[in-house]
Amino acid sequence: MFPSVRFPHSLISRGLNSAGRGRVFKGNLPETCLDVTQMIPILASDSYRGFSANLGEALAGAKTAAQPIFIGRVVWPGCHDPEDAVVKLYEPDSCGVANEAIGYVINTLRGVRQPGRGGVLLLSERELPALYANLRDFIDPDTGLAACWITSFEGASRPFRYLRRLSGFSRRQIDAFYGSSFCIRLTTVDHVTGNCDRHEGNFLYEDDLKYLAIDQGCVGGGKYWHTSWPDQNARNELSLLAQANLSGSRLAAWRAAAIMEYEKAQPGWSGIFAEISSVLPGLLSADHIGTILEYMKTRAAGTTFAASCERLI
Amino acid sequence: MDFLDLLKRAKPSAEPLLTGEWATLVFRPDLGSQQEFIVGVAAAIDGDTEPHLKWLPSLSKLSHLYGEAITASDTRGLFDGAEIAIRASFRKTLNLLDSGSPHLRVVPCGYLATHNIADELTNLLKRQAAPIWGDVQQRDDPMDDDWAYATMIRTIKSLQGNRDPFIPGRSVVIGNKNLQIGLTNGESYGNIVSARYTSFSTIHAHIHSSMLQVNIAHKLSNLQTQPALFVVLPEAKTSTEVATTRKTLELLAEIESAGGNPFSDHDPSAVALKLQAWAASSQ
Repeated sequence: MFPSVRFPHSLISRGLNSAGRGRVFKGNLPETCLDVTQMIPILASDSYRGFSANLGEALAGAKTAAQPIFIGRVVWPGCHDPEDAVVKLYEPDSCGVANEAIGYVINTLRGVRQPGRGGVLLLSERELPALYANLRDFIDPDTGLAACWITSFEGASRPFRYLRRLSGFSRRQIDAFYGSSFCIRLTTVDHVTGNCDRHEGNFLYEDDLKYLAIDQGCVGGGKYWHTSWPDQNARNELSLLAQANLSGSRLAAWRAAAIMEYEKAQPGWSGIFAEISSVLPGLLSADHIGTILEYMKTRAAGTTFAASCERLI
Repeated sequence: MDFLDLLKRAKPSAEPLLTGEWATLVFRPDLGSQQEFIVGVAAAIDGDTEPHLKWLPSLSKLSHLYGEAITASDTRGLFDGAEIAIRASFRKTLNLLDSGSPHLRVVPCGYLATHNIADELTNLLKRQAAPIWGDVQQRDDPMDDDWAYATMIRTIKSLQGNRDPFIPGRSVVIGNKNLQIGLTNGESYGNIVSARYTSFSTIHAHIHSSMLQVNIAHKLSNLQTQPALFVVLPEAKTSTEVATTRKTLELLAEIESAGGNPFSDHDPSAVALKLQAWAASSQ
């Protein structure tokens, strides 16, 4: 169904993430490659060292969405000492973890900056912290395990990276954000993946030229897309934010740049989808993998992004 | 989601030797304010009958935040008492622990896994209390005024046939004044000061304070002799010590010009010999 494409070792090992400094995937691949599944390690409780701090109380929306999220200590593959990681629980009947994995791999391969590491952590009830939410809903009744999406905690870097929302940006910072390749590229990636939750809290502001994308849990229009069908009209929050924040001519220029970025990326998507399909077994059934890949394939082709921009107009 | 398939594919990691639960120890210095600080961590390891506790090794940064309102010794005393209460109320779990004070509460944080509980607690506390974490400075024996005084006593008493110039308790009551004076030769008073403090301002303060005490004693006793001051200078091995020595000698020269009688040397034994000579100089 998709051509088997291998990605260069340098891209995958560095992950085109916060350390990758926004390099762009061009689609021209050398022979020496590494399996992209190494990008998303699956970790069991022996890699978990315990709870550090609750994040849900600090993040607007997390508490009302009953989304348990906290900082835990995780020993990543190849490391000896535990490091802080953002741990996010998803209900076992949702496809939130799979969505995160899809979004993380695509961001990496498309050159969207994001936390340096991502992975799946399986924890038992005993290992989960006592948070505000009733965590029973997040535990698989058959195995007693909870599936967590984890990413490295970039806020612990020195100097700290503060979480800031767009509403706290100055006019100059807003202009810089919408003019950034990060914003334009992420808008097109979110369109292809159907990520409808790229609100202003889901990217980290580092400085006027550096941002990090976080939270890909709503690929396909939400974390429960598989129970019905991926949302064909998933909201593109970045497009909506641009519409709200940019004036007429500047909005037109921004959309033109985004459409050009979308068209430029189109030849590379088939290779990316091939790699995504190798990451998802276990996280999704074969039918669901086919569903989400077909969904994204449709959204990556033709003029669907331009059409979505026109709908907004 | 196929959990069993995911478990099969999980990357193996060295399983931790110890598991249990941990908690933060939260300190609220002022009950009328909501300001709180994590000042310690505790752990209950499965199978252990005692909790493991780790407190901030130094309270200097916390004390600096509150100025004179919080002293490190009082706060340490509170923590020591809390540790007694926590250990006494421990029943296999960190829930419902009693700290013995409303200023300290135990906040359970759930699961903990580690290979080494002491290292883990240190790492946890460093992470949770980073802004007020401070390592205790490991120093050699301090070479302060007490050290200088003890060294002089030892040296003088090792010499045969000396008059003992040392005043018991380093305290003299003259009139209604209790003065901190360590030496007398029968005709005048004197003090011993170390110039081996890190900061010259400390040395400056100690020399002035000592001379002030001796001058007051001379005035109250109507002594016409010169008050004495014995100073052990730094070893002058580093540029800082050389600079401190120079500044100290300049200060002693000023004291001499003001009517004082300072004696100094880098070698404590040499200062002791000057002290011996001063003690023997009286009628």
